[in-house]
Amino acid sequence: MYQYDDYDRRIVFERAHQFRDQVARRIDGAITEEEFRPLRLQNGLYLQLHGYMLRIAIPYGLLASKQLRMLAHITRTYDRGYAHFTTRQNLQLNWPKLADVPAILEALASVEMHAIQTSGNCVRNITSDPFAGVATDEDVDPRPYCEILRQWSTFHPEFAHLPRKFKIAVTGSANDRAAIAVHDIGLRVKRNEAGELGFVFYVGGGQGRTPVLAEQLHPFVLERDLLGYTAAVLRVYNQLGRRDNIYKARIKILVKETGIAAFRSLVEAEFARIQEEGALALDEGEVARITKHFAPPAYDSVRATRDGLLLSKDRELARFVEGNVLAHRTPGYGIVQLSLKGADLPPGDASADQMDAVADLADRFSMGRIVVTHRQNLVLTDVRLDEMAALHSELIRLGLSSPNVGRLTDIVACPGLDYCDLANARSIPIAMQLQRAFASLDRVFDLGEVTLNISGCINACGHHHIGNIGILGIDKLGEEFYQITVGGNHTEDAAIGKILGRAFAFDEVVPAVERLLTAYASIRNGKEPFLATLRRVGAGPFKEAVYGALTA
Amino acid sequence: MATTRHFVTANRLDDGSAVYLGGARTWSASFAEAAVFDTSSSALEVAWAKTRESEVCGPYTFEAEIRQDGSMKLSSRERLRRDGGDAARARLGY
Amino acid sequence: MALLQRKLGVSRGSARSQDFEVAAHDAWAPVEGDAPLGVGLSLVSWDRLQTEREALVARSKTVGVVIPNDLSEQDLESLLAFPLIAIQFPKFRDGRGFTFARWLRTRWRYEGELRAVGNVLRDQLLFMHRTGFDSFELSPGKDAQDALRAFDEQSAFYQASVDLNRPLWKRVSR
Repeated sequence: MYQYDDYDRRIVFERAHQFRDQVARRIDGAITEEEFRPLRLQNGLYLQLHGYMLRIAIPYGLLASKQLRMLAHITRTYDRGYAHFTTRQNLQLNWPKLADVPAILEALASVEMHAIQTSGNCVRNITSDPFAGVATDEDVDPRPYCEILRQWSTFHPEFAHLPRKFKIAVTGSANDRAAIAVHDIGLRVKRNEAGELGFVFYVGGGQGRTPVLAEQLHPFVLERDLLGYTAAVLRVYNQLGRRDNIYKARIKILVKETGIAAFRSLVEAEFARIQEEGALALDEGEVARITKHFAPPAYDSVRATRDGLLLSKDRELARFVEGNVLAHRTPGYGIVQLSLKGADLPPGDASADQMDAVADLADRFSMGRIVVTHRQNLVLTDVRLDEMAALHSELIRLGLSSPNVGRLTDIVACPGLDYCDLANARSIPIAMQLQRAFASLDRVFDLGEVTLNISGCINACGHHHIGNIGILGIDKLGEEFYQITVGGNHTEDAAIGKILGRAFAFDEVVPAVERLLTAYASIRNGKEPFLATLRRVGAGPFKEAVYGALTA
Repeated sequence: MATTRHFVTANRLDDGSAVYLGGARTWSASFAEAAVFDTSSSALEVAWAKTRESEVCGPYTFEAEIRQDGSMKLSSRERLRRDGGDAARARLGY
Repeated sequence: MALLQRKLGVSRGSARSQDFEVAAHDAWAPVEGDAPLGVGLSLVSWDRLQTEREALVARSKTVGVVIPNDLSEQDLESLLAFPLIAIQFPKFRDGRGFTFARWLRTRWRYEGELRAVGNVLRDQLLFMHRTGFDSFELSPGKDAQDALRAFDEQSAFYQASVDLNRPLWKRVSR
């Protein structure tokens, strides 16, 4: 993974120092809350229902074990002993005190981490495929390009006050595990037939109030033009994006209102000028400098196979491998997903002790690396298959062995009204009720692959639009109600879910989801997954099953 | 006949916790100590609270309806704020 | 209202607090409405320029223009003859002025003074300098000497911009 040099370190330390000064000026009254607010947002510090929330950046979800240990230390020392992994591969603390945040930023800087640009109207964390570097279907490792974009966009002086936030995601595989179709810029890095490396460049995807899938802006931007083309898009957006209405300020609105062809002309014109200037051309030397940090580690020759583990006499281990372990590009290794979803804690949360323990497991079993997924789970990317049983026992001990990844109880949920100032309804209790209702692993496995996402408001931080089943919290006359959507999908076959019918009260949600899945189990052909069944028969039978009983 | 009460609330600068404006312009974490205002006095108090930036951030006023039986109807948001961070943590399993 | 400006003779590439100063006085006199221009340097509004363009262009050497941040590219390009262009930041979070400054410098090679006016926060000064501004009219009530320290808060910059026209990896060996 990328290792900081003196310049990277100077940048994060100076930022921590600058924020220390800004906090002091706020506390002294030298600056007003109105002036301080954008400054604290640019360091990822929000004010919520019961306290501050600090969002720490985890660039493309990749952590070294020492970084995860520092996150555990910060969580324990400055917070309440637990933290939340988010749908953009970041980490959130829910209880920091304002006066402690400078110390937190300094502690982060000491392990090459920061909270820069995790909020505000600027370029946010660049997210990517959590299996980058190890997936069997990967054409090009996207991470070096994420790092190049991260550095270029950090404290970019021209793009610090965009009309609205800006999210970029990069995939290196045709199987999109980075949800690029719902990002402001989505990039698919690959080689063309001539062997040149470049990016299929998508623009204008997004969720929230007006979910829309991205459109292709350019079929193949060459590697050297990555920054120049991205700058052209940002410049057009900075100049022309709407600033009159925050609900119409994302680039997706500009693209829709301008039309993709006209938008493309504007970008191409600006790009032509940028190319002439030449300063943004990526040269091979810099690409090589960054790429070498992501060189694959030395793998051992391991004879064990994933199929072998599936036949293990230890049925729990076999089920764990079936559910959570994926084939690795190097034979003898596996990609192991750790589910942070259970009935005891909110989805995506981990305690400081668990974080320390996972850091130790990463050191012992996975080359000291951990990746955060945008479904709020963790991944150990390089585990020897002949050590899987040993790892599995440790996970059982830690309560991190649930084999439910990619299945119904692998629920993604935003923090919701329990924490968040923007929310209309609570999302976490719905998630926990669903966990309890579907506690039977046999039942969960029988229901197969299905994604369920919960958002507490239309900002859609729970990504409910792209869940096979989505639940959206709304406010009706001061009470919490929930809309159910079906048919969303977060992969390359992306789709936005559609509302099934009228909204449900808090206690009606779980029974409604039960009826939905019972209908699925009776309609499906063999092992047909939920999404396929829905696409085959349409929403009609599901609507009937969920609502029919109520109108009878 | 239902009546509407107005309250003034904000978040503490130091830890962001929810507080309510009580009598004599003091801030309390307990909703039970919140003073009741009418529409115009609550607006005045919010304006005053905005000058107290060294103590609190983002003051605003919210309404609660008092039902015929004397019980108070709060929005879900204000109910959760009133219950506070400790209750939130307990609810969520921490 | 305090005016910060780059000291005479200091190149645009450099940004430490000692490169800037609080201006003792403003060389430019704002001209209100349709009042007559004085003999010295006059700062007129964009609207005034529209109604009196010919006359003002004729004496452009002593005229500066304050512009809103939603002009077209053609409008921007029409300003190159004036020695001062003051770009409005109506709200500090409206960042269009940064793109305008960058275009003026790199696209049209504008060499005159670029000034940031309106809602200008101390914490944006470095970004304004990096996108090509020379002078900064701070919001009223702000401590100008303290604001100068903003230029020292960051000393390493990843990306090329107007001040440093090469990215970090080309300026130093990494």
